[in-house]
Amino acid sequence: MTEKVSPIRFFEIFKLSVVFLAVQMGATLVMPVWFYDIIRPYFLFVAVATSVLLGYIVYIRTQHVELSYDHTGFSLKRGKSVETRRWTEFHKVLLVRTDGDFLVRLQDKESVELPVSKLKLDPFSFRMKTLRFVEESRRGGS
Amino acid sequence: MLEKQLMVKGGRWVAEFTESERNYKVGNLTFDICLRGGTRTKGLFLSRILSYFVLPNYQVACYVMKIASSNIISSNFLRKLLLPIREKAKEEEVKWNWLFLISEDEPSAKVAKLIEEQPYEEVGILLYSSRLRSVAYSHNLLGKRMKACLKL
Repeated sequence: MTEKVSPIRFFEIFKLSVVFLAVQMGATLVMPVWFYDIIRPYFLFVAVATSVLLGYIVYIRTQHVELSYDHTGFSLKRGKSVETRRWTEFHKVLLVRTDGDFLVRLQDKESVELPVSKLKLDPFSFRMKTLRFVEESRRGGS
Repeated sequence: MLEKQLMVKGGRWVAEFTESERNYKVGNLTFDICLRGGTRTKGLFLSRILSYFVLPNYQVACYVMKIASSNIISSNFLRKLLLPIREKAKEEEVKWNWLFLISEDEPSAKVAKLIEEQPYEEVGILLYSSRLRSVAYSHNLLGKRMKACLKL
């Protein structure tokens, strides 16, 4: 049975929205005064709405992470790019802590990193699950 | 639990363990867990600057092994475990090493004394009794420091 994990990271959308809002605020400084006078009554509402919308679109297209896995392999989607691998392609499973995020690094000739913190999974139990998949698939394959 | 303590909780006061591997092989031995990292802590801007100027840049490793009973621990047994660890440390320039032994039963006074008096300064040994939640540790800098920081 395939399991799918794809949590939406609202804080990332918020951060992007703040950037877009700041850009729109900055744009008011260079726009003609007569035009600003026309849009002023609606500006804040429109600016916030478009920032959230743009933030959401950019987040989904570039940063959203989706992982689907079963006992044969996994598929990791980051933004628009998709990487599909089988557990048999790896022989080493490492749990790695970077600046605040946990990753499960799958190694063989090349390595693939599963961003467990971004997927809001428990890193320690997910690593054990991954290790079990890798060991079982290698035992089955050999 | 121990892995979490070392990577996320108290262990961070001793070293920054950034990598963990299960069933780690050193020579003929297989350790249940091997954690690796360094002594420079990561963090925000100021912590990074402080750790860069104040802390030494040592590589560290921690080996964890579950044993059936603490009665199997003898000076010969410890030598067999410590020899490949020390060789590996020399090879990979790992300055600080820890060996965690986990057993269910309480260690005898003889075993505890053997661990406390182990002669190598670059390896800290800790024996954790999971039933009693007590720790016997080597009385060198690494053993004492690790014991003080972990809440097992």
